Amino acid sequence: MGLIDQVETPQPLKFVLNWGRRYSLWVMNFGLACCAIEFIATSAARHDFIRLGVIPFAHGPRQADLMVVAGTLTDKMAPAIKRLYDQMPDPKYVISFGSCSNCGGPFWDSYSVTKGVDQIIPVDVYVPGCPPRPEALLEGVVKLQEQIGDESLKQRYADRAARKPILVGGGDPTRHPADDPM
Amino acid sequence: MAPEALADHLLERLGKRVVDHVIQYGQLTVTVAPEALPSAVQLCRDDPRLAFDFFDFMTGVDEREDGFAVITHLYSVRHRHHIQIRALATGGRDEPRLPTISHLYAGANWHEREAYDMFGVVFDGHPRLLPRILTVENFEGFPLRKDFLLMTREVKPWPGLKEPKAVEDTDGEGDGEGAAPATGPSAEDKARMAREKAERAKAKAAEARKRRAQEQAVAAPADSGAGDAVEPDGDAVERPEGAGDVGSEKQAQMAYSTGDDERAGEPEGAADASGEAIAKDAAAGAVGGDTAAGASGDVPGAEQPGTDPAREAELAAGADAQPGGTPGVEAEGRHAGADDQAGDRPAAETPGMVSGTQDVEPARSADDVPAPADDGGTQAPQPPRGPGEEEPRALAGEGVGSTPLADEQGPVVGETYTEDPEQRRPVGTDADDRLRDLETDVDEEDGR
Repeated sequence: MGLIDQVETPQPLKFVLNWGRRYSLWVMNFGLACCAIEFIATSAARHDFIRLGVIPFAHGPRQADLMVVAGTLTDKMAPAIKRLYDQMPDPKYVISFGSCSNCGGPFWDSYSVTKGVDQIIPVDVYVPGCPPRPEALLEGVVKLQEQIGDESLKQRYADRAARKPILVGGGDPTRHPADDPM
Repeated sequence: MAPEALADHLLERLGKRVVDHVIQYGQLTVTVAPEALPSAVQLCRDDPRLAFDFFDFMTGVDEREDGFAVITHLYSVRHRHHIQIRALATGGRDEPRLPTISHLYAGANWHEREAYDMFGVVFDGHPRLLPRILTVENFEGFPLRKDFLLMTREVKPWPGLKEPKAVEDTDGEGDGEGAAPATGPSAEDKARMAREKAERAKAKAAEARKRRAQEQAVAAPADSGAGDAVEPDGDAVERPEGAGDVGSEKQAQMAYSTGDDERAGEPEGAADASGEAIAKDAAAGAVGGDTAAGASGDVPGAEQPGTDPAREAELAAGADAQPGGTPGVEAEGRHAGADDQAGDRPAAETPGMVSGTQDVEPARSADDVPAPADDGGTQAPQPPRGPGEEEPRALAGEGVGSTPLADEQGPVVGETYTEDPEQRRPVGTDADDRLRDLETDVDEEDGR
């Protein structure tokens, strides 16, 4: 893919490149259900994630860096989201917004719902909530930006499987669902 | 056309094709023979007196042994009447079939595809039922059939009627209670639920008794401190009761038959918060807390078996229902996430008060409330005056010289409306506080 993912860039250059990448995240918003409304609310005047550099006007997946999956992912939609994710050029990031895209949410027991978008695509930030408040999405974006600031692209491409996703609001992402009382 | 006229007209035109018809909630549902479905729908569309030009929806119904029925809802924009045409598919449960109506209404095309996807009803003559439209293309089975096995619920059964556990209970009984029984609530769960229902009913009766005592106390000048009007204690809190309550089931039944369910807790709570004001208002002719009064009137002081009069006197006097102050079963009315509200008030106040009447300013002393007008009741009902107000306050929406309707009462009784901006609490204050907290959190995190 070029020099960037084979060579560990020196710190000053890495700082600049990371800075550019994290403060101009063009979003391919994947609004599927109610969380899309909260996503739109976050982009509107009161919360406004554009001031963080997140720009919602990506013309398509091929011009996007960030995909925010907001809403219930059904089995019928799953191949489409996989295709769109694949069409995004690297480096790309995914925020899973809302309970349905995190883990199936309130519809986990449905015959047609995929229990979490991370079954299909790798996720960098989980924002829990049903729907999450716009502030939660802002926090997710900020945390993602912090992570991008510290990251090395070589590492990111090398151990894709070892990525540790961020869970907004804390909590243990390795907690097993069988331990849930409900 | 009225549904009855519609029915007559259809019966006349369709004759033997109509199997049945019924009018429910002002709407006509006509059951036709399955092979007659297209001709019936065509008649509905083309007959100028019927003129059903709008296809609303088509849905399937699993009728168990009878097979699958398909209901087509039509609407006439011209005449503004609705109709539902029902047809039971031939072939029973194994091979349900119906003729299509997609050539009559274009919208029926996808609705029939949905009915096929969900129930398996095959529409003869439909241009293309496959590939499946709603489920994945290679989906096996028909999901909305009653005998469709939902695999996730086979693995983890539906927990049934489980109350959310109080926070204190989690350490002791975690596993035993958490594991859902394979077939709905077990016998002990049912017994526990019945017990809880009985206890709630008893608590409500105790609270009704308390309120009556309060209203009687109004006649004598009571020491009406602010703290008195807002009842802090067990309106609907569990009392520690022996497990083997004789007649507890009967009490539960009685409470439920008088219409006293959990929702009744709200008007009763409202009445409590400003009990004295209500008593005066009732005298002045205002409609207030009638439902609560009515509900209490149903069980006029009946001594219920299994209750402890000494304990009830204690409770009526305002003692804590549970010494630990733990929220009782009624706390289910509040979600676990409502931490802000629980934190604002002492624990003893929290249980049972589902409505927001605790935010209300306490009822003022008896002399503030105007004496009942004795002009024969022609004077309009007036809200209680605030302290220091001379003129009676105008009701909301009332102009000069206009007569309010008999049931119009202005502000909701139990929630006092005051002109004074400092005293008035705007709706949604709690939400704004929470929002402010969240916003500061983000800023602190940011640090930039």
